[in-house]
Amino acid sequence: MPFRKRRLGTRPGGPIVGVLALLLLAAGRPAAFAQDAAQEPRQDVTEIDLDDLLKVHVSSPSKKDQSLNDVPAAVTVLRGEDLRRIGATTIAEAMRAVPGFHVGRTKSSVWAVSPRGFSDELSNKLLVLIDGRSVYSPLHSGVYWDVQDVFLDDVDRIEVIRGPGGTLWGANAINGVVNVISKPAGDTQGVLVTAGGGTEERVFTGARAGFKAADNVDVRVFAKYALRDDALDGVDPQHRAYDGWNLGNTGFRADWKASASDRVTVSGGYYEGQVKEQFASATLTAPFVETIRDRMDLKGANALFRWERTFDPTSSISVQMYYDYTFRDEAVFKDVLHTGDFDFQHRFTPTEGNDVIWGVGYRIYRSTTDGSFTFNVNPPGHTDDVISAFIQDEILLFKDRLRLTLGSKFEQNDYSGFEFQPTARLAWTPEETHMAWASLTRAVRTPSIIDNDGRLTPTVIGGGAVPIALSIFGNEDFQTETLLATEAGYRVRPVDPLSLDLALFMNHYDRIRTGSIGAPFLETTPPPLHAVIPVNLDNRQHGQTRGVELAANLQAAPWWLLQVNYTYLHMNMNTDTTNRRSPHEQVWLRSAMDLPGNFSVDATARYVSGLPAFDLKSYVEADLRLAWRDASRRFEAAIVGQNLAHKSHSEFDVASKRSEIQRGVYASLTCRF
Amino acid sequence: MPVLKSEASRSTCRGTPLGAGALILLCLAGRGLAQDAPDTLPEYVIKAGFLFNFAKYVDWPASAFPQADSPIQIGIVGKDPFGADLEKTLKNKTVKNRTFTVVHFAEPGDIRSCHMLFVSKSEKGRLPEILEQAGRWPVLTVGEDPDFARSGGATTILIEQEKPRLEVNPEAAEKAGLTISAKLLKAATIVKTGK
Repeated sequence: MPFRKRRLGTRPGGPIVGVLALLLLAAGRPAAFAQDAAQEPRQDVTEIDLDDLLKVHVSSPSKKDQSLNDVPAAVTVLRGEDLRRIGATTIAEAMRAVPGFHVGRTKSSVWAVSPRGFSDELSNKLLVLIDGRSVYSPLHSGVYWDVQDVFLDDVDRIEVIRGPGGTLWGANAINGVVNVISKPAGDTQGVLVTAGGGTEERVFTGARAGFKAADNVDVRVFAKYALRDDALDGVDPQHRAYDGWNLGNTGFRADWKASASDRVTVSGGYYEGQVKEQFASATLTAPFVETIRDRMDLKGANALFRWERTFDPTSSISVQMYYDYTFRDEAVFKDVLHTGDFDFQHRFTPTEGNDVIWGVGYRIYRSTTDGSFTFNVNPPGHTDDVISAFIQDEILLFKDRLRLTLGSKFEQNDYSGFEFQPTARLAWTPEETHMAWASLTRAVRTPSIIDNDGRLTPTVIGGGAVPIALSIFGNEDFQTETLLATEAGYRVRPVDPLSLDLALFMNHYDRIRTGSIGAPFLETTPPPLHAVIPVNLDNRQHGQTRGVELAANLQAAPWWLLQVNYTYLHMNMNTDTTNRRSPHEQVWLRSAMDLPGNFSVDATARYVSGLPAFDLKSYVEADLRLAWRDASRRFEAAIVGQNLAHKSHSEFDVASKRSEIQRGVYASLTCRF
Repeated sequence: MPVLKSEASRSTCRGTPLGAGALILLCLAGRGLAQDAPDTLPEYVIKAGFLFNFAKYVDWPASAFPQADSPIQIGIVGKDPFGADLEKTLKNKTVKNRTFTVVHFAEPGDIRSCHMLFVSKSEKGRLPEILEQAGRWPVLTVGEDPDFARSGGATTILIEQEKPRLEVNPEAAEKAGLTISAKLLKAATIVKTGK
């Protein structure tokens, strides 16, 4: 598959190595193990009749790596099966399995998820799509991970591009793209009921029913609910934090094979939940700070329509439209956002050796932000639209061996006007098991609403003649942040059970957001009279980052998969606080074992180096999952331990803003019929 | 200014139109609708399974077999991607009282009479030669390259987005004297020979 705005259809360039305990366990009885595994009968494929055989998914990791082998970019694919076996309950947690990504869990349900540096809870250099629907907020370009909740059993895979994806996906895909892709309804027929609970993941339950509504129409509906416990207070870990979460989520998807070449998908969803929040908020009266305890209300709905017509394997068109509604009522602001999006794409082969894909898009946002003294947007209402177009050509230069991809996205937005994001990528595939690639890409982050019109007042200093408020102000002249990325990579399968994926990058950033102190002034509203020292947002940050991402997969035995990811990052921005918020090194290990008697044991461990900006030392944590399913695979019971190495630990942000994440254990039952 | 919200709502969940009752209803609604959930298998175990199924859903002319219980011969031309999976899968299996044997042909010129000929990806550049050789006998040609059936092969087992898809070129099968059952035709995408 070329690097294009399509499903990659590939598998993880994932990682790995076994966790010590498991190694010991395995080493203790190697002979017995191997024998049992060999004797365990694989399902007899001759007993599967034609129609059912067409529904079976390919599981061989080595074959999946082949298709991955073609993509001239740093790509990782987490499959639904991987998510289940890792024991992840959220998309944010699953991102720990992706090299190059830093996941710092700040609170029970708040995560900083950032690829290639610039870690932040509202990391604004990542584009997240759920079945083609963009979910970052135009308010600040960050993603609210607490409402990105999907029915995990219905997820086919999560495709992750590490590095700029702006050429196809547009602004905000500056350091990465996360694309959550759910299974077609035809693949989720039948009823699935799952329920469980534990010490941190207190309660979770869900059900899905898939059925044939008509001859060529498959439908599924699902509903789920989950409640997560409070973590521990970041300053005083003897006490609970006030940061619990609960969310109910329901949705449907229908897939209609309108003809041999036409596919129509309609999907929709609704969620409603609450998250507890507690923080220190500045006030204009003594003691100039108050502790806010709030239960924020979150709601959202979406509907999507997609039509795809395939003329032949290299020629197709698709039209997609969606509407998305989000409602977020936090203590210091209430935000209502309506998004409408239209997207058209056409892929064709104009001449032999050229594979062209182009498209146009239109998106409209209508947002209303009712603020407070602490945070507000002026004016509170915004209607913004973005018009975009892209084109990309993949050119065969020499047989199937050397391919050049050229493309660019162009867009017109209401804040910074016209933007372009070109890329050139070269892929060399000397043979099926080797591939080297290199690329040069420009990507941008266009200004968000707060960059232009926001005001945040984190601190008020009392004691003088009048209180002095420190306020961060948006700036109408805020510019687009830019990235020029140089990347290279190499993938190889030296022997069949082993695959390696290496990516290197050197990024030059310019006009990254900073703030500059402006001239103080007096303000009468809200009363009492107070002085304001403004910090005006501007674009004075620039610099370089360099990194290495290595993922290795070893199918050590038919029943044992080992993965290791190594991430190295060196940031040399001219603002040192930025450099000190992202880990220098990370290691992620995974062992996935199928044991005799339909048992499976999965373990992951991670090392994350320290974050000097928050006085956080490096840490090691580990998760373990033990599961059993019956021979027909209709029933599965699992017990999962998360963050087992410590009673509690901290991952991100300063002590007053973070919680300590506790060790957790949960059990789950899943039943299909 | 922010307002402290009441603690009273502590354990309520307004986002729960999804109680246990709804779950049970959903479960009951779906009962009996569905078959087992799709499983996963290695690519070449799946392809071996299709070869077995082709034996079930393709009829060879009587002249193709010396005796009523002569085995079905599966030839593989080019680099054998199955490893031991094909032999293991077909061991002791019968279709219409026939067992299976597997033979390997290194070069297109080595191809002899057989009932099914699996054309490995490695032979992509030599398709015309292979199809010409195979055309001398009633052979069901099975390929895995996306252009195989369009180039005159009888059947292709494709893997797309990690799931198999079949293509059948009825014209090519007919030319070889084979009868493809309606069931197989229905399960497959029909393609024609041509550029």
